[in-house]
Amino acid sequence: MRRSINETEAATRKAAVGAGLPFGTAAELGKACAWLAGFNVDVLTEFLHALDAAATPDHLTAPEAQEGVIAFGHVNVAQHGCNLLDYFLSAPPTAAAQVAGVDSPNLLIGLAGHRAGVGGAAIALAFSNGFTAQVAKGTLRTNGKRPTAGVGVRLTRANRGDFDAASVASSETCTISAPNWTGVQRLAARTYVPESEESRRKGAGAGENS
Amino acid sequence: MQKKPPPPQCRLRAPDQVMRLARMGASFPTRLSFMRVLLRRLSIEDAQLRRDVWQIGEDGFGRAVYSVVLGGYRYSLVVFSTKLRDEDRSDRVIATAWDASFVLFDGTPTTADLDRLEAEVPKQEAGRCRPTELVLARANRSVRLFDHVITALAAGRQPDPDLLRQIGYLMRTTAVYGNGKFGIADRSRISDRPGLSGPFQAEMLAVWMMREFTFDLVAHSAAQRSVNAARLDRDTQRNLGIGNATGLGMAPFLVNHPALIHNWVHARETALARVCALEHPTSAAIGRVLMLIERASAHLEEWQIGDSALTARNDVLRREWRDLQQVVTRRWLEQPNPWAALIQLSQHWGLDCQELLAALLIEPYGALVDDLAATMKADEHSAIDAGMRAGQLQDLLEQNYKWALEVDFSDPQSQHHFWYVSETKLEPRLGLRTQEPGAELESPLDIARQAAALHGTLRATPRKTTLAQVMARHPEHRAIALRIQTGAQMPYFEIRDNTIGADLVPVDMLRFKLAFFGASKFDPKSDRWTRITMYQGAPTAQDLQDGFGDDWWLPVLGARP
Repeated sequence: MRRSINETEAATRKAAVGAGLPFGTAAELGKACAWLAGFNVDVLTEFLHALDAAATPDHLTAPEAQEGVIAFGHVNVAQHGCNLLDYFLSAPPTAAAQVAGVDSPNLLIGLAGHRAGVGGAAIALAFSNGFTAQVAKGTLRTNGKRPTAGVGVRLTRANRGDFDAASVASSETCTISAPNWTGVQRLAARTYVPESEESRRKGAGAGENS
Repeated sequence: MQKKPPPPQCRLRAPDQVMRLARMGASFPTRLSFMRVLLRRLSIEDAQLRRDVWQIGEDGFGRAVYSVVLGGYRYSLVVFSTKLRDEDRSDRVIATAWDASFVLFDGTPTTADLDRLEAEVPKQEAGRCRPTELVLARANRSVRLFDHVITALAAGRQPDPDLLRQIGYLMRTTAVYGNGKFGIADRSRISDRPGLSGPFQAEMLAVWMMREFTFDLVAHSAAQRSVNAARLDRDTQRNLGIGNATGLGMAPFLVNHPALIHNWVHARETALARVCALEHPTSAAIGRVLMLIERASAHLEEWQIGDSALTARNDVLRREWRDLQQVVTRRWLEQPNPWAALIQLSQHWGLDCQELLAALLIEPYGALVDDLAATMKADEHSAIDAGMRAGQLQDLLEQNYKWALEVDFSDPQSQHHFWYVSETKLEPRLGLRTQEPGAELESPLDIARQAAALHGTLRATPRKTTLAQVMARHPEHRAIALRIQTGAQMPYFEIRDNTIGADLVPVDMLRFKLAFFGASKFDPKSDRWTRITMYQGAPTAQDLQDGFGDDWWLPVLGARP
């Protein structure tokens, strides 16, 4: 099935809230999914797994910074991907972030793409399986076999020259698998309040038929 | 080439004055309202509306296509008129059938497109559209006026002007969707297009084109009844707009798009500040303001509604307007800086009078202010600056959210309401926290409360701590921290009132937004929804061809623009 970029963003944001994540985190996850949807990349399988893993809230272990490298342990991207990027992007441009493992590597690419797009940065992600991605505003360049859960990753600032052969976000819709969309909708539905007569009585148009 | 300097301007009105809900709920349309901006553009481009398809049967049901070229692109309104039982005709978002449904199509639809759209568009939220569709909407007939007009036209006469004045439209929309909803195009498809790049221009275009369909439909239906049927005359057409029933869905929009709202208000306030800086207006400008004061007076007399609260306010407004007319003579306006003096004088009267006057003063000065329409869109992308220190964020918060920190959230009255999304068609609603279920699923429209909570955390945090560190411990503050950073340079970014307090009147938020659309004659049906009329008094397609201008601010029925 095909969904618009805005539908993808709204549904994933609501799903993240439905999964119990704070609104600000959920909003960035929605933007990450939408950013990838602009390249017709469906990240919802990973997204749903990441939300499952986020069912038990915890705090990101304070990273250790040594010799220009900020070191993280294993990271649940749904809960802590935003914060990982907070640390990386607020460090000096020469700094790198080294992550021992991430449960949703492609979702992390989306988060990095969104942040790079807004902040004007260019970010390179080198995964331990050899896959590389460079992201900047509206552009994505990848090389190698897509990484899977558990893979390590190193983040550095990218050079503009890295984007010579990059894809430009141009897709107006994203192809999404029906079971994933159903999963997202199911989580989003947790944020809706069941109908009551009181609430129905007060809505727009109530009691006024022509 | 050197950039032309902006015109001189007075100091902008302060956000603590402008962004209060009571004042926002007293908004009036201005020449920067979106319907006005669209029709000026159509007029400048000499746009011609074309009826490309008319496959409407004797019974008034079928499909029609209208098209117009704007900014070099052709857009088509595809309308489906369908049979609807009277008992199914409802303004509720939760309705499932309508008299008419329509899309604004990007380009010229093929027959295959029309067949596809005919299968999907009448289903509205239950159907699926494609990115070639820019707007999805539906409308219901005003049964009283629709049938009356057809009967009158079939008898060879014009409809009763009193009934026209009372109702003001043949059809009213009950939802107009844009930006990717139900598969239609994301806004990015048109955000750089000439003519549609401004806020809600695609939606406004669709509704204006729909208005023409309503004229043709009553003419067609009357002609089926009598070979001697009349057509609506031009003045009557102009006095008919498109009705609209608007509910709480608009309220979350205002909170969720603060940068956009800032740009709207900043444009309007800049326009007013430019006008107020004029030291010696021309005699013609003074004459025009005096004429508009008269017109506003006539408009207020025509604005008769059932809502007791707004009726009482409008009674006061009419009285104050008469007082203003007593004072504001040509001679009085010949003093230096008369417009600034007039704004100052209006502070003696109520908010409705002040805002009506502010809207009025902008009206004669198109050459001075119309360029500001181009500043009303917004790039809404933002990301947190995680390197900012906690102390810096606290300073920003205390500087720009003082109004929020003054709310005592230990008082239950300050959290009387909660916003939520109903499972029924995802309608945004407002509940009473202690009386209705669902508060645990509250939508994050409680900006003042979020700001207060973040303030508590920041006060307990060493000032040099980075936000990256704060967010690691307190991800619940992420949304409000980003919001405070994003709005730091945008004074009209926030509604400076507690949007969950006991004294919230949600219809204030609706009127504010609808005034920016260009709507007038607000007709609240409760504190949570209102009827309005769009494009009443506006040029018809034929008027644009005939060179009718832009002079339809606060129209008075029967008056020719």
